[in-house]
Amino acid sequence: MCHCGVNIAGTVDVKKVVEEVKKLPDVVYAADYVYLCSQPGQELIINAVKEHKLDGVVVAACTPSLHYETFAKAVEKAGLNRYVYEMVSIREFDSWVHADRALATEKAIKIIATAVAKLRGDKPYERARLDVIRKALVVGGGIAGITAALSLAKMGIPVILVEKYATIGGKMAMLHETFPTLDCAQCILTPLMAEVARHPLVKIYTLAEVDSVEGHVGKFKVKIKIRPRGVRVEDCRLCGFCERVCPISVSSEFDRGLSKRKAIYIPFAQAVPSAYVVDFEHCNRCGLCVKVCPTKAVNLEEKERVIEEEVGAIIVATGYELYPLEKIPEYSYGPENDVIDSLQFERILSVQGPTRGEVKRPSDGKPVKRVVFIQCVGSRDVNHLPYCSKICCMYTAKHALLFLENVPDGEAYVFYIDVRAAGKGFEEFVKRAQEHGAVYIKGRVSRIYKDKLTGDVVVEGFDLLENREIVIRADLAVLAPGIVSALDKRLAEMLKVPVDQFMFAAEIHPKLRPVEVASAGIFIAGCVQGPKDIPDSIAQASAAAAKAAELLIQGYVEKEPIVAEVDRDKCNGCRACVTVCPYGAIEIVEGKARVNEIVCEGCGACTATCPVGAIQLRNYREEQALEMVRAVMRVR
Amino acid sequence: MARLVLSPRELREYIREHTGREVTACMHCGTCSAVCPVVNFMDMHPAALVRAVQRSAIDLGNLKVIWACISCMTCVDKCPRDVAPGLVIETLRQLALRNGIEPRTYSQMPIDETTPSILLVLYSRKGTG
Repeated sequence: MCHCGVNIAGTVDVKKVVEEVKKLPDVVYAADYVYLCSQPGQELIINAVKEHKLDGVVVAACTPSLHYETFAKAVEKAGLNRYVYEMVSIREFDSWVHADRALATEKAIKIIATAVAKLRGDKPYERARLDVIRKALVVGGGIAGITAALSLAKMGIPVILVEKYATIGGKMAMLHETFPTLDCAQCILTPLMAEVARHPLVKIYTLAEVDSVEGHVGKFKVKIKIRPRGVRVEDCRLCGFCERVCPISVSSEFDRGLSKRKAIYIPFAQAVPSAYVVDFEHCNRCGLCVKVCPTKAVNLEEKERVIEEEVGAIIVATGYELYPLEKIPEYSYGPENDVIDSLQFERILSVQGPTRGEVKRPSDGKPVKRVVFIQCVGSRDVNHLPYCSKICCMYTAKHALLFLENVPDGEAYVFYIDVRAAGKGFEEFVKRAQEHGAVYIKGRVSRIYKDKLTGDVVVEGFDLLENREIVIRADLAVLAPGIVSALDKRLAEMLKVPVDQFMFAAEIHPKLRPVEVASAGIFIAGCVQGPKDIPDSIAQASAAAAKAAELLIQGYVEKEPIVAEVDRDKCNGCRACVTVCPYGAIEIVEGKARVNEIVCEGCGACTATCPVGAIQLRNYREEQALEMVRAVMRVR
Repeated sequence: MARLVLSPRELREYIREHTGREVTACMHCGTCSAVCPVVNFMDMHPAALVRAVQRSAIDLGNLKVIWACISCMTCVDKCPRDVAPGLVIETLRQLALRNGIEPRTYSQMPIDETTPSILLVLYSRKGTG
């Protein structure tokens, strides 16, 4: 029993507890120490086990989440099995929450008595070792996915990179320049795209989606559905003949509807893989592209295929989308109204974009002189997204700055609630935008509309600092929509990624384990976990790669043996446990339930469900629980 | 005219009791003032009023905004933090009436050719609590 300095001993009469515990049945030895977790404290346990030939140990101290492992190691060092050791908290559950010394002391005795009662039924178990397949799957080929894949490959681990679209690069490829250093996004991203593409250990599947996932940590069986590209990548020379003859014109996803592309196209010049792609949804199969292709690379008959891969770990980096602006009708979103979203403005600024970098109105091509930026569109609003999307303050400052550099006689107004510029060089960057003439207006916009007579975009709002209504007639309004997760429910369930109400992946511990989720072998990186900027996404992707590598390089995982066990004599094969098991660990074999010990996580859902008490969790058996209750009742 | 002296905590609790909303949750974004159709006819715009209510720095007897509000509740609908300034104003108006503060009538409100007709109607109705 531990004093934890005065944390426990200050409220609990430790000496009295020890005397009372000594009287409990089967207790051979009881002692206390000021800091049991210290080296001498651990020695005390080891010596007692050896000297008194103990066959079980109860440690009463802080919480098991802090020091369970410390004492388990000590118990093992003394030659005992770690599963005949129990740790109970008399700090969080007792001394910290009570003030009355007598009652707290009595409670400590009761807590320890239950542990002693449970220990009597504990059996020793050995941990199983599972082999791990030294290969990883990365879902999502944006900057986070690319970073994680490259990092793993550089550690010698083969990687499968699955990307939904025709090219990797993700949202970052659409950006013009990045805050706060104004690096050109393409210049820093495309070399990474090329590097990951040519790395011999990385296999990239574009136009691909995860179709199903089976198995467990160390051995996931993944089916990947690959949509037809219609163009053989190795034969495509990017001559563009196909594009020129194609009669079908549709709006470009990459330019977010601000330009047109053909039904056979390349998303952007530096796309990886470097090849054209057929948009089978819009293609009318006229066959002109097939005829003009000098290398016979076009194949309109290509079919969808499904491939299977086995991997030891999965990194989920599915990224983000912008909040759907149709949900905020008062802002009249739409390029035809000259009200655009921030990614569309990135495309307008880009020299490769629809206007070749000239800031023109999407509706009629008129050069833009006055632009209004609106922050927190959907974010920080309980009617839409209650959270802060984190990156909008910075990219809006960037947009204002780039616009004013591009159009020296232009005017830029920014409606804001708060300017959140917490980051290295961020505050300085916002100051730079303001020094360049960006006018920040503290307040909200009530509505935006297109004045059909003058062609102006009219922005109506309230200036809180001037204390009055404000109406700005502008050429363009740029909205900063909130960031939403691109993860869908089906994929999250397949990958066993726990999510919050906004479909952001829930990390297992927000501080200590930010890139792991509750399902072993699954890691998260980038905006799938929450809104974040490029440096944060890269840092997290590197961390996810390192965590996955820990697992993959070690080559095995140890499995806790505390799993469910079936008493085949009692089981009546009712399947209640099969239905309730969240891990799919139970199957019916010859009319009786059987637990897959590797898949079982020991949650106990089956135990609680079984109508005949046939399925029991090792060392948490029903009779042990009853003994614990009896022990509490006995102590006065 | 009666003067009310409530501490910020008392006023906050009174409003919570009557509306279920927390005035201290306001982040001063100004959405309420932006969407208010009669903001130009108020002595204190809704966001400023909520700010003042947080500190209980209001003189109910001399406050005109509570008689000018047309109770359209657009600010309640749009408030991003469920502070609902329209309900706060409603509560203050009732508080004033219950404490014998006379409602503002036509003669005490600025009326000219720009005054919207809805306000003219409202000025005559607010006295009924």
